Amino acid sequence: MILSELQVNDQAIIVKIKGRGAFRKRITEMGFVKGKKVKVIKRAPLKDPVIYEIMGYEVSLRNSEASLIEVITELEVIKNTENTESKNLVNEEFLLQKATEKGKTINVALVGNPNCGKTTLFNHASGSQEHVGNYSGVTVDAKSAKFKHKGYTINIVDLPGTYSLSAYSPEELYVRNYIFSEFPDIVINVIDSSNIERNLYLTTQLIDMDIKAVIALNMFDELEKKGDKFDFEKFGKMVGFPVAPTVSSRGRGIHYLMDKVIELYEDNDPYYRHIHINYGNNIEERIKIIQEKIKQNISLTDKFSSRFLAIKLLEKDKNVNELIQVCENKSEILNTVYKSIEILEKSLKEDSETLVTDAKYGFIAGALKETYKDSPNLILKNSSKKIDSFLTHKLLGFPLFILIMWIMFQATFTLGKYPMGWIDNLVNLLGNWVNNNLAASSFKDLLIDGVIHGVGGVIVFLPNILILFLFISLMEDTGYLARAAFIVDKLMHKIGLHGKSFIPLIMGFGCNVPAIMSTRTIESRNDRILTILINPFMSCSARLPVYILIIGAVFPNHSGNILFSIYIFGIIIAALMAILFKKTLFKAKDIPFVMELPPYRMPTIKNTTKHMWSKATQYLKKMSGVILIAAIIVWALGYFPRETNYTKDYNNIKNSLKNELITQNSTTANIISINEKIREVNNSMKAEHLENSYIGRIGKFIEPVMSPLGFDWRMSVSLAAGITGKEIVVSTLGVLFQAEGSPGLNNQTLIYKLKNTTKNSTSKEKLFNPLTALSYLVFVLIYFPCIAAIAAVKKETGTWKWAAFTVFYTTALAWILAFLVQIIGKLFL
Amino acid sequence: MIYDIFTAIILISAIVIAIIMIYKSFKAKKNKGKDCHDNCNCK
Ligand SMILES: Nc1nc2c(ncn2[C@@H]2O[C@H](COP(=O)(O)OP(=O)(O)OP(=O)(O)O)[C@@H](O)[C@H]2O)c(=O)[nH]1
Ligand SMILES: [Mg+2]
Repeated sequence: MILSELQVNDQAIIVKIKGRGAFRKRITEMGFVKGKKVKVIKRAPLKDPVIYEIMGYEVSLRNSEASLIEVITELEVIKNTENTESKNLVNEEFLLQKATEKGKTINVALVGNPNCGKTTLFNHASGSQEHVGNYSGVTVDAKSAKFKHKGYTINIVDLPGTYSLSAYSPEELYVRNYIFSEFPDIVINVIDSSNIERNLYLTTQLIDMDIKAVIALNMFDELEKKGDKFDFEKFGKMVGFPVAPTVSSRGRGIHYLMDKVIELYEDNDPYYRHIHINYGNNIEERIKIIQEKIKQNISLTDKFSSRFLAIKLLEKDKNVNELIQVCENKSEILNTVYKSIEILEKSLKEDSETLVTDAKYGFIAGALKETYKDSPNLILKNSSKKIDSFLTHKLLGFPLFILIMWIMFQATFTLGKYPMGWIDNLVNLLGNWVNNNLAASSFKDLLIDGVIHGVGGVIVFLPNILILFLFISLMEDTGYLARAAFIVDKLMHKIGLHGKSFIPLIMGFGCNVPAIMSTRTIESRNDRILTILINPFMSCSARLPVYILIIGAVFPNHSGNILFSIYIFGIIIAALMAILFKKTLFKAKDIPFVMELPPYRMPTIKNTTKHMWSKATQYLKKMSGVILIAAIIVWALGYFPRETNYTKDYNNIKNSLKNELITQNSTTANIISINEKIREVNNSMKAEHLENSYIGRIGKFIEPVMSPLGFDWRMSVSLAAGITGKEIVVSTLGVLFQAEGSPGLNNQTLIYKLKNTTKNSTSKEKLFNPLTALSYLVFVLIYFPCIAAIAAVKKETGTWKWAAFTVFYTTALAWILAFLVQIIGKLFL
Repeated sequence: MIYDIFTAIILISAIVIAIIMIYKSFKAKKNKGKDCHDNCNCK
């Protein structure tokens, strides 16, 4: 509870004082200290200010001040105590104990440059599994977790990386708003030690803000490896923040860091103090004048340091400008600011923003000069450069990139084939076992035709997906992904996008949903929407099972190459659409952009396996969730209604065949051929039943639209079911192609069945001929991204308009292209 | 007979779960959509 929420005569115990340093100091001097009892005496007619009794004195506080004081009341404790016995025991002592307990919860926020290891630190400290990668802009959302350390509960929040806290890009604004609205007790400023100077720029802004921060000197191993020397204790004393070196990828130093957090939280840190960065006489003078004007608005300065606001105003910060709007003397403040900027720019002949930035870098350079010693050893520093001279070579870079991609898809297919076969055999063994051990019933049909054929059909592709993710994860962790973005940057410019759009596109190979979310790093709204619109053409891993199934059935000899081509085709379509959109919907100028190239890093086995593991569990969860449900529903739609008016009397035919079996002199050849006939009759019967079932009727209804593409009703239905998730295309095919394969384990697989299915029972023409298969692959690649992706489009663009547009244009495009495949293909074949 | 009851139970629960899933995804969409708009100024 917050102090300002208390009613007259309510009593409470103070748990925590939030807000910036100067405010806390003033409030504490008035007697508002943790663990003290406070009582509301009287409210002024307009409710503000309120008179409180504390330590026997009466003190008046404004609501804006009281809202920064966290308290706990008797009522609150009783509500949260389940134990009735202790409910009666709520006395002052108990309350105090609860207050101390609650006061031992520390809210910590991780703030730092992109790619400095915040998420790695977060994961290690709290045991979470958030996404980590060696490039900028991995985290785009706040993620929180809780853990215990030395009796304290630490609520830690991972934030997107930012170079500064100005309000230039969405991330910067996001982080700043987070600090200003949530008032974390402690900010951990994570710093990449191998790049200290640039990282400290953000630190200077935290200094200005007058908040409690601990510096985590992350990647300290890289600094040590370079042989540089950094006297961080002395540095900490200079800037007034405690400093803790960490290597979060190995978990080194995190305990010590948390010790420091607690120490600072309890105000026991010997080094912590609020310093002022000296901006030079001219600027300092102007800051003072503006500060005086701001200080008249106490409700604002309770929350924000007036010095910080003044500096930001001098930097022409739009967002702070808005904050000022609540002030009564806002025009006076703004006039002073304009005048100050004019005076400064005239006398110093520089833009006021540059002046402030220069002063900050001057401060950093000064502090480092006294504490940082570069190692004379230059060789190690350049190893990344050496690798880069090869991998991002002007001529070689692009072919190498293509080669790496090609190897990736070949491996996905060839290496994946073996474990895929094993899982397939297991699924079939299970199916046979159920078949032999359960009496015929609807339940048995549900298990075999619905669950085992449906889910089993998808589960076999787990190894392929893991292999693909292994490659993507390795590319991410080594830092090659950022190079790839750099390599294609030039090409991206040609299609009207910049390299920053490349990372969301590559992430799309995994799943389009996080990829669409990661477009948040793109500042320009037009570029962002454009990237979102073409993202679905990046073939996500859910589509992989469909490709492998169809390619395995129809193109077994060129599998890797065809798979690679499908992905490349998706990329080409994305590029063409980008050019088209840029010419029609979003006529915008290019914004120059610097792609950050992180140093190459060795991927750790721990991180990679963790990544694989979380992918695998995610996939299995999906199997037991959406895909299982969809398979059951598809099965039911195919199972009912039970009565079918068959065109032939199948039972009669079967009986006569069986009689033949008994009467004929049974040579083995004869038995086999008769059994084969029985199987065929069974299959025809099943097929006819399926056609008359509900799903068959749905399929027949949409078939006319799809038949120009060469798809029969079953393929059409599978595509329709696939809008819930593309794996469901496979599980639906698994349920619909129920026809029994010939005896023998391998002949039961879905691939085998697809390979041998004919267009209808009378013709010998194969349903999946190469052309139809190709049309089908193209259609699956391009049509309707799954519902989750559409939801993400809606969420990120903020309107249904773009979501609906994505649905229609992708599906229309898919139809047209699949049709073109048919037409052009027929010309050549 | 008993097996048919099994089937019926499974089918009904599958349909219920499907409805809950659809409902949930729509609800989550709403909240998060708002979040993004407040926070990241993506307009
Ligand atoms: N050598 C070394 N590498 C580290 C350390 N901490 C993190 N890394 C690596 O640095 C890379 C970036 O880590 P992340 O945790 O994703 O960085 P981040 O700060 O969350 O990045 P954004 O979310 O993009 O802002 C990963 O490849 C990590 O494995 C460290 O202490 N030493
Ligand atoms: Mg991160």
